Amino acid sequence: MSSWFESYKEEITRELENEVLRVALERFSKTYWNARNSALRRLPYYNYYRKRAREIKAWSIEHLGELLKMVKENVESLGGSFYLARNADAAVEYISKVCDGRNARLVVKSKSMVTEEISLNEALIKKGIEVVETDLGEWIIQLRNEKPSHIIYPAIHLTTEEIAHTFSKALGSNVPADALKLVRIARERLRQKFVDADVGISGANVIAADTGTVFVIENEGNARFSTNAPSVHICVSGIEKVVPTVEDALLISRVITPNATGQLMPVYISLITGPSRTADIELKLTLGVHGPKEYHMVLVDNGRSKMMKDSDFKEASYCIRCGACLSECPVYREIGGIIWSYKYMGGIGAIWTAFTHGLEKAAPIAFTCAVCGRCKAVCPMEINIPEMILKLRERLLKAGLTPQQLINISNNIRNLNNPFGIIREVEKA
Amino acid sequence: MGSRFLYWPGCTTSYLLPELSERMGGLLGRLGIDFKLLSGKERCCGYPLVLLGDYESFSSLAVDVVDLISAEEPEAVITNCPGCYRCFTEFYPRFLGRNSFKVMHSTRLIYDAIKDGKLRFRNSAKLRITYHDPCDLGRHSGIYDVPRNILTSIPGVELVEMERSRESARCCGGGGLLRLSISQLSTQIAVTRIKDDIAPLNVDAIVTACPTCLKNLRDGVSISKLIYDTKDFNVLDIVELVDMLIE
Repeated sequence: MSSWFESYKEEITRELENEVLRVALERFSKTYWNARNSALRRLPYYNYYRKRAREIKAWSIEHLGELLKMVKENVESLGGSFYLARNADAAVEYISKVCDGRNARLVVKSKSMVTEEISLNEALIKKGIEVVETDLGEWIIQLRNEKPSHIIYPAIHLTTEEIAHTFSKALGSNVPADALKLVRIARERLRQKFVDADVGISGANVIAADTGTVFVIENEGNARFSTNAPSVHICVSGIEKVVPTVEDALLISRVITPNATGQLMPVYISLITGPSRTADIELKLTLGVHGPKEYHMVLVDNGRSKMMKDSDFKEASYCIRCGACLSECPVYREIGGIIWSYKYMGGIGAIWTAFTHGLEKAAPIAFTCAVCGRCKAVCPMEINIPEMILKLRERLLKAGLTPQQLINISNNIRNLNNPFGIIREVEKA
Repeated sequence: MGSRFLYWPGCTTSYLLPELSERMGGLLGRLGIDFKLLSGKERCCGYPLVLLGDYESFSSLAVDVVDLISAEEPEAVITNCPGCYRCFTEFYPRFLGRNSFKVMHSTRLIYDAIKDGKLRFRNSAKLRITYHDPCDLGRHSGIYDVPRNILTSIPGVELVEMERSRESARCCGGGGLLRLSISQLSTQIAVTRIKDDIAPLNVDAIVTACPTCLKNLRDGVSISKLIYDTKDFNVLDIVELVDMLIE
């Protein structure tokens, strides 16, 4: 069982020697710290918001069955389709069918970790569909054929210089390392894609059951385009995102934002309640005006119900995906999220991975945690991630997935009374 | 038998920092504290087993350790190791379902002695220091103020806080068995702690209250000096600092 750990450690060494990563994470860590702290200083009711947010999430997870039923009824009554996907394959199959039904050739996407979780892009590309990520960070890593290294900042492992290099290669011309110029290029290159796309796929940050409303939080405006310009919108998210009311969803959005980006409010929160519609002509309800005509909500289970039923890990489903735990993690600060992930990264990622992709994929992530508790201190939902890491390690041990090097520590304690394996002559009393 | 206190240095101090356990023993002696050591009978507290998720081995070890300690009938167990401290105060009661013995971290003992006027310091110190919160003492056990109160009680010692301190303190990198399992990563975290959080403060020394932090930060200081040309900071356990400056 030790071989995977040895090669994983070699990957860690390579990341520690990765100069681009080192510079990028140093810049990120300082900027994020200052941004979050200054935002929280300007939010006097933050502690009220986050405590209330935890109550809402806890209640919602307990009553998820009825909330999902409400969402389904509401979405369907609005003229949309609702699909509860038991696993990744079912979700991918449903979305593929929708794309097939519209003879889709071009899909634009706004940021969604759940579509990463279910490997949606790969499946659509295999079918010959062009898939374009429109979030700037996601677009950058798509150009580089990489995976996101952070749930909020997918390209945070890269410096401006490295991104300019990537753009230069993709465009075949020399692009300067200037954020403004890089953003302009993305704007120019992606503008027409929104118009030409047959299908737009988005995630959801929160979903309100009482109206079936999806909250999509963003700053760039790409999610608005992606969910609005194409005639089909598919919203893909996890079942744990549902809360009772629109007000609850707004409150959670207000907790996500300062923790995610250090903003008081994001530039945009799109509230989407079904396909676009009009009744301007004789009050005849007609679907599909300037926005999508066809609307699908796909909520993925993929291990989540199991997590919610597991008393050791239930609270991991309270996670609102703000990323504060990653942004403040001392291990993340050194190695980032490319190697420290399967799809989800860091401490909370280890827990999520155990349920969405299995224990084997979770093992390297879990054994890289310092169990220092910084994540728990910064988590607005007070999720006890370090405690869950220990419980996950217990399951990994039982599954035979603990690296031999760590088993040796246990053996040393048993045989030599110390974890280091030091043989000491016993003093005669 | 008969000694009021049991000094439990823990494996890291005992095996890797014997000079620290000597200092601690010396300090206890000077304070007139009647204590004894388990010496050859000493066991691991089992915290590494908790960190491994090996709760089965941990539970059986904990029973043995409780027997071992109870046999000495100490009024309290004194330890300078926050890992042992957390393990005794949090995981022993959780797994054994009862409080078996009283545990004091060295900082509590020292601070009580200062308050009682039993510890007096020389007036000659002139030291600008910062304090690194050990995860097991701070975030995991909620002890932030006691060590700071000690430091601010010492004349001539100026405590400069890091921007990332208390619950925001960055781990030294030694937590979660990383020091033993992925040592390169562990040391790199210490280097960042030194370079980003400590170097800008222009202090003379880094004080902490954990043997693992002590070892990891010392490694971090030498590597950070080599790569980033940061100062050759003296890294001291609070026990060492107190013992050095005692009257």
